[in-house]
Amino acid sequence: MPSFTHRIQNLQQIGPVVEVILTPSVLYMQAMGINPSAARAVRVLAMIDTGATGTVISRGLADQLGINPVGTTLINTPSHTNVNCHQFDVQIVFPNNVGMQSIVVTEASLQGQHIQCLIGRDVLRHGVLIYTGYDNSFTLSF
Amino acid sequence: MLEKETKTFEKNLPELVKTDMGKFVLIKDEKVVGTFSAVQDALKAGYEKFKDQPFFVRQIVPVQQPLNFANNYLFA
Repeated sequence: MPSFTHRIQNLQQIGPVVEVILTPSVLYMQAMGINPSAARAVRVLAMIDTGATGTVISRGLADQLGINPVGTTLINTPSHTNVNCHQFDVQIVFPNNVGMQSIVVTEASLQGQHIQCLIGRDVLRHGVLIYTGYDNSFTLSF
Repeated sequence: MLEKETKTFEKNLPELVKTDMGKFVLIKDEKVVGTFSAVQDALKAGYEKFKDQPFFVRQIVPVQQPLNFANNYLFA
């Protein structure tokens, strides 16, 4: 089972964050005849968020990837309800080349954050997340 | 973007729920292009037909459930 383990000096304070690479989805690249090595890619900091139904990318990232929306969805946060947002089909690559080749993610603003992506339960449903608090580490396997 | 497709989806939803509940619908402008068992099949058909133009894919359910976020990171 492909996996990666990430260690952070103060996991409780910072949270389970990890650098991921976003690209257009493999489906998109195949349909457009794009060589994966020539595809646009963006390296971003992502937080694993078990409190998020779905995965979110920061506004502007889809533009950088050169992709158009494939749908819309409504989102609720503690301070906003039923906000309509665009959705995009992307590939998410974690360390060790662990990843999802095609996942529909939601675009929204990430408020004053050092992170540009929230990894939600739509990704986690495919894998195993182990949070080892005393070791300041977490492991994600698919 | 996708306003026309969203209206088309809402207009066709009652019929789609009767015929294709749980499937994924592909819509472009005012046209329901087709329904598919898996989201990847709908996306693939969208890319093949419309290349890199925007299109609309959504699961056919009677009431759309919003995505929920327990934290305050998001600010749409």
